[in-house]
Amino acid sequence: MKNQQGSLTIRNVSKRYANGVQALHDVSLDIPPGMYGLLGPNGAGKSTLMRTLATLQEPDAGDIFLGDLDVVNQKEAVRQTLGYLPQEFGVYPKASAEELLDYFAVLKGITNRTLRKETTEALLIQTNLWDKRKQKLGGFSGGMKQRFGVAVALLGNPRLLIVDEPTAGLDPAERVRFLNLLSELGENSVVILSTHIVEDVSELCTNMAIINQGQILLEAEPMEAVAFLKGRIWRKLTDKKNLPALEQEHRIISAKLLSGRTMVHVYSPDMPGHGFEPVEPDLEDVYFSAMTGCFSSVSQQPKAEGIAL
Amino acid sequence: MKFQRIFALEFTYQLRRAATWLYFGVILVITFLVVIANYASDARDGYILLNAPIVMAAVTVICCVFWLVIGASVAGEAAARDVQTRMHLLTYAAPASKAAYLGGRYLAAFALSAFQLLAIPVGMLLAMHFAGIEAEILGPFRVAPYLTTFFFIALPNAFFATAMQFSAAALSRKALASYLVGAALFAASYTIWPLLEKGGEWGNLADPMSFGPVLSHLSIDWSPQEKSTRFLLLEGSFLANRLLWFGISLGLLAFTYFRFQFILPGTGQKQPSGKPLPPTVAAWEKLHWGTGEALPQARGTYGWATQLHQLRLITWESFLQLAKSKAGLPLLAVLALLVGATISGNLKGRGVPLLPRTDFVLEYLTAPLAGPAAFWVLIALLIIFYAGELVWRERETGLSEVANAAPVPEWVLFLSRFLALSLVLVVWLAFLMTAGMVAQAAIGGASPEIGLYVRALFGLQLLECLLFALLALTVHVLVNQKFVGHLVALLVYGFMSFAPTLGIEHKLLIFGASPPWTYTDMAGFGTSLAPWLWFKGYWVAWALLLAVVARLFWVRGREGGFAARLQLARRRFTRSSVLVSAVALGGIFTLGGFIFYNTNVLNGYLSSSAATAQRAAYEQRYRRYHNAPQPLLTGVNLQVEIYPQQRVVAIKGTYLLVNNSPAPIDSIHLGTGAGVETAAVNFDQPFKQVHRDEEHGYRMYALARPLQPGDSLRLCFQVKHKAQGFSNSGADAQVLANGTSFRNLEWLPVLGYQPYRELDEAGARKAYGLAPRPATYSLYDVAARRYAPFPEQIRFEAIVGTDAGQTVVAPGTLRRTLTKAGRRYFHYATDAPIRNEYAFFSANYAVQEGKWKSPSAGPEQDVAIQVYYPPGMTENPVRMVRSAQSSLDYYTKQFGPYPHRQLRFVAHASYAFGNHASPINITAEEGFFLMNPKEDERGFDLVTAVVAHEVAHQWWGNQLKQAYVEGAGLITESLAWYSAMGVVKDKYGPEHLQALLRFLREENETPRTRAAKPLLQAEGFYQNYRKGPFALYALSQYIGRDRVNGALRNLLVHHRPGAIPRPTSLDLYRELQTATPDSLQPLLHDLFEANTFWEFETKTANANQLKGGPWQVTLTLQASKMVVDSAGTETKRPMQDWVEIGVFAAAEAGKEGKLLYLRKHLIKSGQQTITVTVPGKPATVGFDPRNLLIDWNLTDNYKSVKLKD
Repeated sequence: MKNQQGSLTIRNVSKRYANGVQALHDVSLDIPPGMYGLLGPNGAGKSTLMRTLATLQEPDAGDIFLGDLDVVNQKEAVRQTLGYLPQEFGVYPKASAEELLDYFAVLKGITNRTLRKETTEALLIQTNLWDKRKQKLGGFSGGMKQRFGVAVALLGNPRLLIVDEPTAGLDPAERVRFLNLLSELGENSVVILSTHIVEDVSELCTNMAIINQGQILLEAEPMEAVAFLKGRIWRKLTDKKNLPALEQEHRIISAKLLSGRTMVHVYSPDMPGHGFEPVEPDLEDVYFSAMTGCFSSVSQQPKAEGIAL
Repeated sequence: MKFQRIFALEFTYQLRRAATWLYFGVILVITFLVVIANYASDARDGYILLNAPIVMAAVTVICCVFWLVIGASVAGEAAARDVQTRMHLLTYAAPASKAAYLGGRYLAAFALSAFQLLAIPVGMLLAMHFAGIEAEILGPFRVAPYLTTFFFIALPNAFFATAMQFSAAALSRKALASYLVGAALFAASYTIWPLLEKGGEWGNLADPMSFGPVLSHLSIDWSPQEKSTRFLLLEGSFLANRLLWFGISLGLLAFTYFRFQFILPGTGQKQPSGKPLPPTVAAWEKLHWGTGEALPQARGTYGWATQLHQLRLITWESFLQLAKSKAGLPLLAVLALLVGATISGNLKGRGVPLLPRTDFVLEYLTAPLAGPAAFWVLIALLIIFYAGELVWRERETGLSEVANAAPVPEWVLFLSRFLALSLVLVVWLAFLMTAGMVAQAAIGGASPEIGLYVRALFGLQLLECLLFALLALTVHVLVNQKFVGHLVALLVYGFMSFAPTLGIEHKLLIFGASPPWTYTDMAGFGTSLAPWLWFKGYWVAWALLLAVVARLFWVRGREGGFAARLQLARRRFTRSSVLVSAVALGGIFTLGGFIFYNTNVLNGYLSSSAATAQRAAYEQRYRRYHNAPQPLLTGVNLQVEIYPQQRVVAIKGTYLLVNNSPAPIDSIHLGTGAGVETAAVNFDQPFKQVHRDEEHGYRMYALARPLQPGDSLRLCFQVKHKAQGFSNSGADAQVLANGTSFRNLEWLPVLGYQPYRELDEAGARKAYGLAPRPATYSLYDVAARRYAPFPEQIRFEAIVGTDAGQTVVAPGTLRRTLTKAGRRYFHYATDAPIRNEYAFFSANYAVQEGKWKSPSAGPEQDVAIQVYYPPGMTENPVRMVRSAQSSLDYYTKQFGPYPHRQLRFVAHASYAFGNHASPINITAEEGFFLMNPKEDERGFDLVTAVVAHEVAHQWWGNQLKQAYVEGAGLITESLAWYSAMGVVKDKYGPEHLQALLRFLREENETPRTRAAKPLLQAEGFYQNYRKGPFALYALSQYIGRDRVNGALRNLLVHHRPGAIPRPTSLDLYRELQTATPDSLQPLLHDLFEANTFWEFETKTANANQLKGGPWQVTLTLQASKMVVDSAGTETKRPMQDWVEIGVFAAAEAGKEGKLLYLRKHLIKSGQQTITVTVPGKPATVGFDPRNLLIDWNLTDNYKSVKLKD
């Protein structure tokens, strides 16, 4: 199998933990350069997949290729071009941001002193940590720490950037800036963004996959997936007590409280019945449709289209 | 209710953890091994009953001390788990009171500790009753000792230790703090008692685990009877100890209660950074996140240069991390300071300060890590701790995933940790070196040899440390669970330390083990360095292999499963790994093979059990020839060639043998030496070799014509010693480049069966089916009195050749020296017969000479006194010559002539301080020359006294050769000390005698059991070297020194050298009885024939002045006397003894009070009143003020006088 230069190919990757949890089940994905969103609820296997891509974990079966690099067997080479921002990480509380970034710059192979200085300075400025560069990391807030993690991940101009739930600790402003930065980076590299926040993906990603219980439910371009749902999502404002009955008759994909009543979204190729009105679908509907299995019957279709492109 | 829930949750949570049960299992196994490997053999030798209460108490304290480090995580977890798992965000906010929270957690930890310590009684029960221990060494089974040891020792210890560990962990919010506290308590147990032993009660109190006191009950201060029956009850100082530490523990818990706060760590009273935190939500304008265009395009470069750069960086970062932590360099600096402070106190020989020569300072400062010796135990524990920190730091701070995704190869990650740990150890050794040099400067008298420090510390000791550091790191990598990692590393360390006790003796099997190196000024490293290097090389190869394993299993991700890690390791097993492993394996096999060739092929390896079996077989096969008549050795003529560089000695010898038995002798039994080749055995008559047993060194030759009574026979032989490589215990150190010394006892053939080669330990004798007998033959075994090892009186002549630069010393007159073919030859011959014990020395010596002129004889009777000493040590040789002159003066007058024309002291390279008196030539160990009596605070010249003692052996031991039975020490060592007292008093003055007596009495302050056999059957150090001399001195003060010395003179006259039966203490006793007047015969009996103790007490002392000046002093005295047998049974005896009463005037500053009155009074048992009149104003009175009679409790003998108007 020949890869497109720079893209990431995941083939039939499975992983079962010692405690019996099947974290990944026969996962196959094709990830082109650009932003790629990996969407799924907590515990879906996102972090396992991310750690596997970040060379920190061995799959039980399957292959992963970054361009020509075999991620499973050529870890060292992959790490040379990898940026990884884990979901949770700590720092040495007594080190300053500047010191620790410099330390990681060497770990990333930037041994030239001048080059390293330029790089770390640029990153500190970009992550808006320049003023805090002398401050001990122990005193950093969650957002500052997260930005510092970004700076570390961006060291060495990675071709593969893996960011695991990056926006969780950021305030809204920081989140926006962070996502902007990522999308700009995504022009030459593979950037994989795992998240359970639908907006993160819808705003940025050119490609996405939805994962649950270790399985890929949907792999698509967000726009196409939304387009595919056009005319198939209906909504109705109803009372809570009617929900069980509705559930019997329709495929409810989501139910939200709205001013004391419940707004249900239903998946149906046709008009489901009285009281329903069509909705302009968004990515959230894609997500919930996928989660409730509405794509399972037709999931090959958007994928086939994607590949055909 | 909350309290109960907290307790129950903690208890069940930890009880479900595998680690808790693992700790239980480990303690169980250790208990089992302590009983089986340590105490069972003592029990088989008859010293104890294996299940005696005090033995069980000893097992309990030993295992408690091990538990301190094994189970330390329990308290730490209970106190700090919430913070470490970040659960505290929930628990601290919960509405539980501090008392319920801390109390519940502490009590749960205590209960868990107690549960773990239950493994001790269970282990003891299993070992004693279910492991096939023979019934003979067990007393009846009783439940009580299990209960008392658990409830009086284990449970309180658990309470104290848990309190300390819990408090430390709760206040620092780090579980690891409890581990450090455990390690500190562990180290304290091993150090407090030796330091405070002389302090008696203070030592008892200061030891929180009661480790020292309990063990010393078993080793010295309980009688055999007490050892088999007495329970360790909560009484006396033991009770005080328990109460004191109970109080301290409660105090500590209370402190913890008040100090502990339900607040988040780091948000306590002060900001760690000192600056206010910036607002968490930054203003809009501050959010200048950059854009992609501006992203730095710098990419890493990869390759060797980068990896080395990374190695350097991570090493330095990891080093700084360790160095800056409180348990890092600050702790090591404190430790070095403490070690430095103890140098002057420990650099002593028998309490005499030594000149701090660098080699002796280094002997104190260095040790194999697996001693477990002195402070190096602490270093080993710290290495384990540091290794854990290094391996776990990134994961604990949460930085590991970021760091592990960086392109740094595993070998860099592992090696950098190892190098960081190495740097810490280098700094530690630098601290230690500084401590040593500062101590040297402070003590004065010797200048530091920097080169030697560097070689010993940064060459040898560092390698010792690094091997263990690598092992500890590898263990932590492989185990991949911090506390279990600590535990496993500890167990490995324990195995390294105790492997020989467990029967694993070959050093190829114990990680890091090697024969020790030695360095003394005189001999340098001698032959000790080469085997050390070979063994260490072998272990370095192993370490390399371990490093490869650690690299393969280095953890980068989260997965800890065995299968996953194995898969990863297989993937990492690249060509370079294969290559390095191959090199390591090659090293292991070639070096190991070479070592094995040396230890097992060149030098037949004997485990200690095989050596025991060999001795047993010797007795089984040849004991029957013990009484076979053999001719007597009367002359020895040797030609000795010493080749110090080649480590070879070749001897050609001729023995002149005479049949002095009444019957003809038809066969000659020859015992050959160990470690030499005996060949070319020939007689000057036709003979046939009929038996040859090389393994046990026994040969028999049949003479064609039996040797008739009175006839003589010549025996020729050749003996060759060639040191072959090295053995498991190191290289042979008898022949050295400088400092060669060897004796006839080990190398040259002897005639007949040699009982001294028999097995003495009762347990081993039984195991090999040998007839039971006491370890020392009974004084009343008439047959045994015929034997003494090497008693023959011989004429000795030898021509000895050595390297041109060296001097040879041998017994007798040096007839001539000559140089031939680049070698020097020395011809020695005795002028009078010597006992058949002699040594040859060859080294580069300096010589101090003196002369002693016999006042009663002509100049041809002069004795040349020569001290052959290590060049540079000039002070003591002068002292020694003077003391030898004084001694010869006194002894020839008191006891009889000295038969030889020389008296020599010859230095022998070693760290020891002792002397050994062979005829004419006395071996003095190198340390003896470093003793610096001028600096002795006791104002006492031990060197002079010891020389007098050794010279006395020229009479007691060499002229009078004692039988090989009980009491032998009384007529050698005791007489030698008693004689030396006379020299010191007459030649140096009475105040020197008082100083010598005070020195000898220091031994009385060490607590020990009173149980002993009477002095006539003296055995052991205290009786031979202390109690015997005291008794003889006391007698001389009662009947007069001249009478005692007359008796000794007669003893010599009645037992001429070589006569049979050989003298025993009974012969001495008979002479003393003859010399003692009837009125004092009971005293003589009490001193020698019974193990008597007196108890004297002055209850009141009142004085009033009589008209005209004199004072009348009225004393109320309490006295008693008892006899203690060897089992410890005490029997009161009615007293009717003459005891001195002394009255003293007030003491002037720095002086003792003037003696106003000293006279013997007849004292009976019980209370009595005595009135004496003294000329001056009395201040104190003393009941037996000179301590002539044995009374171990001296404080109540004296009393201040109350003056009445």
